[in-house]
Amino acid sequence: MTLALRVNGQTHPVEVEPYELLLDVLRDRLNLTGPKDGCGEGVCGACTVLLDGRPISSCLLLAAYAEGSEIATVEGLARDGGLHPLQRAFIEHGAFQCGYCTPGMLMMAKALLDRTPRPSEAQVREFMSGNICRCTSYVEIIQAVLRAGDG
Amino acid sequence: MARFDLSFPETVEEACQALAQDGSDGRIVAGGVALMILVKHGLYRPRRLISLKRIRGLAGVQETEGGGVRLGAMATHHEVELSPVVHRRAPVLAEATAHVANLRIRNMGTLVGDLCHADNHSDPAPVLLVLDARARAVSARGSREVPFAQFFVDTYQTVLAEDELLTEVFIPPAPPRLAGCYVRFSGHSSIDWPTLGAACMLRLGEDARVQEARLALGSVTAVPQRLPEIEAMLVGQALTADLMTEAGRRAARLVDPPADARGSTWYKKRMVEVFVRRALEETLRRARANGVQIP
Repeated sequence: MTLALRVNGQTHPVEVEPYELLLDVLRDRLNLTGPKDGCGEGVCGACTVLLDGRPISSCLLLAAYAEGSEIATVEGLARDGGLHPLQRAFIEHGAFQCGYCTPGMLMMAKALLDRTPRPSEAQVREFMSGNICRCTSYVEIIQAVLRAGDG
Repeated sequence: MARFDLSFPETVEEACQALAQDGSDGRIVAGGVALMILVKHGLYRPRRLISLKRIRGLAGVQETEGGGVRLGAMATHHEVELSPVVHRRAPVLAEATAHVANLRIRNMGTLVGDLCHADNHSDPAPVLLVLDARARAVSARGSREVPFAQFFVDTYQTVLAEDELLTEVFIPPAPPRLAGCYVRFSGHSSIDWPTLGAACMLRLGEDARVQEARLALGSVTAVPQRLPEIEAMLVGQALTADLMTEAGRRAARLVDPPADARGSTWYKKRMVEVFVRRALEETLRRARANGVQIP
């Protein structure tokens, strides 16, 4: 089937099989390798992208389900060569070691800050609780999200 | 991964026709979360998936006449969790739904899909039992309403026929003075399936005695279950600490949970004892907060 996927503000016509998942289409067809294949079953959050502003696990979403929605991946965060405040805060706080979870963490944090610009630490912890960091940079990640929330 | 066809009918009638034609080759998909996990693990190989996504009438949550709630088959867990109608008319359902998996899954998965998947660890399922909710099952042959008390046959098995799909869930209007809660325990992390969940609704009289009691357990039985014996022992009684403790003890004797990664049979029975008592205590506390005077 032919889909018109809106990703980071651009429309991409793409030919997919009906059983293909959004994560695979983003990575293998559109060369957007920010979203990562982690657990493959919606637990770890490495494949997090936003669909109409809402975080979802792209490893479980049929690509055809994303048609008609605005898809946002980590590649769309930086604008005009400048990093997004969340990206800057992650660097300042060293909020990663291997970086595999980072694109998912950033998109999850973006969904939070878009809805709640100045979250409390408890809100950050609750909202980010479904994203797993194997290197356990949790403290730094929470600090970075709080910092980005301060503007 | 398995290869399959995917269609997007635009009406319930079209979906029913497709399902009737495809027979055992066809499968309804709503959010698709539980289904895709089964497919990715090779546990299920669909030939044709029939998606409910583009059927307009199946979206969202609405208040029904008289103050009940109607939940469409495409209403996601997160929509249910945030719905002002649910918060007003069936707040315990929002409470349970907030525990489902993680936010990403709640944005994708639907309440009705979760019920049709019929994993016995569902958080919302025991709540729908104590809300006396019912489902509308539709096929090319017609439509019928099924109370959730009769919906679950076994783990991953429901009363739905091969050609039937669920279009919506109805929660009847709550009688006055009904209070309730959902309590659950997860020993791994907050996003894991529960070890057990207990849902409770109580209607207390002016004298604070129990006029009506509804209790249900999830995760510790093959299907989520009401506890009619415990409900009967509470009716007409004042909810003393001793009575709530005894209700927990008796509930533990009624279940025989399988040992698994979430605990031994002995442990889960003790947890049932504790959580039935806690569900009653918490419901009583909320009834008091709502203005029921406890003599």
